[in-house]
Amino acid sequence: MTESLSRTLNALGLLAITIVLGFAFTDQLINDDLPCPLCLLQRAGFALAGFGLVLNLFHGQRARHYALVILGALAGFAVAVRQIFLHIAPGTGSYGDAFVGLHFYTWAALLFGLIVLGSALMLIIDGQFNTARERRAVRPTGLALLAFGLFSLIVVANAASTFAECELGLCADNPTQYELLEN
Amino acid sequence: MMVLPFLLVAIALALVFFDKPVLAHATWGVGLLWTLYLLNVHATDTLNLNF
Repeated sequence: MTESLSRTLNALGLLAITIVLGFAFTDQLINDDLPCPLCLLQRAGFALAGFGLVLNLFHGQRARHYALVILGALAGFAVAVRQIFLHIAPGTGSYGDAFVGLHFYTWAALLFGLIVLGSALMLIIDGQFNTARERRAVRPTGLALLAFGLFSLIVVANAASTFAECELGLCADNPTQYELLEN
Repeated sequence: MMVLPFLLVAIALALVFFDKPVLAHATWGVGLLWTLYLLNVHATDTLNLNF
């Protein structure tokens, strides 16, 4: 695989993560479906995983950047699995609406698994990695720049929304209002 | 507390943009640890939240 094809795949991966975060954010705004504490931590997991892809776009593909993607995805996976386990027994309820038959936290666990799988597959391919001498900072253009811009925007939007919902403390277990707007 | 992971990732992204990769890595690392700490807090006996 050439370096440029790998960069394109990294940009597409970052766009996919941005779409996932954007979908959850849109659901929050349109359906007034406020994210629970575990939902916010899953979003943070996607943001942490996406950061590794940003490093690949700005500083060239490196194994350690993929490691950051995997670590971020595993943190998010741990949170998603905790939420699945909280609701796995019959009669323990659920949080939020289902999407195509699965709740958002179940989708999150599946997507974190896919991110780990995708990163592992990318790591198999040696052709994308530069030698230490060839390595240089690259200014992303086109698709990569678009993906970076949208991803940064959704991360900042999540920071603002989380601050509005929880202010500087922990969020309510089952949030029904934005604390900042109520005070 | 809950806002910190997003804030740290946002700062890390800005640091990457302004070509400060070492600081960006460190900021990201704190964000990861803080996320795991919040998961731990969430699951402690004191809170043991349902959602």
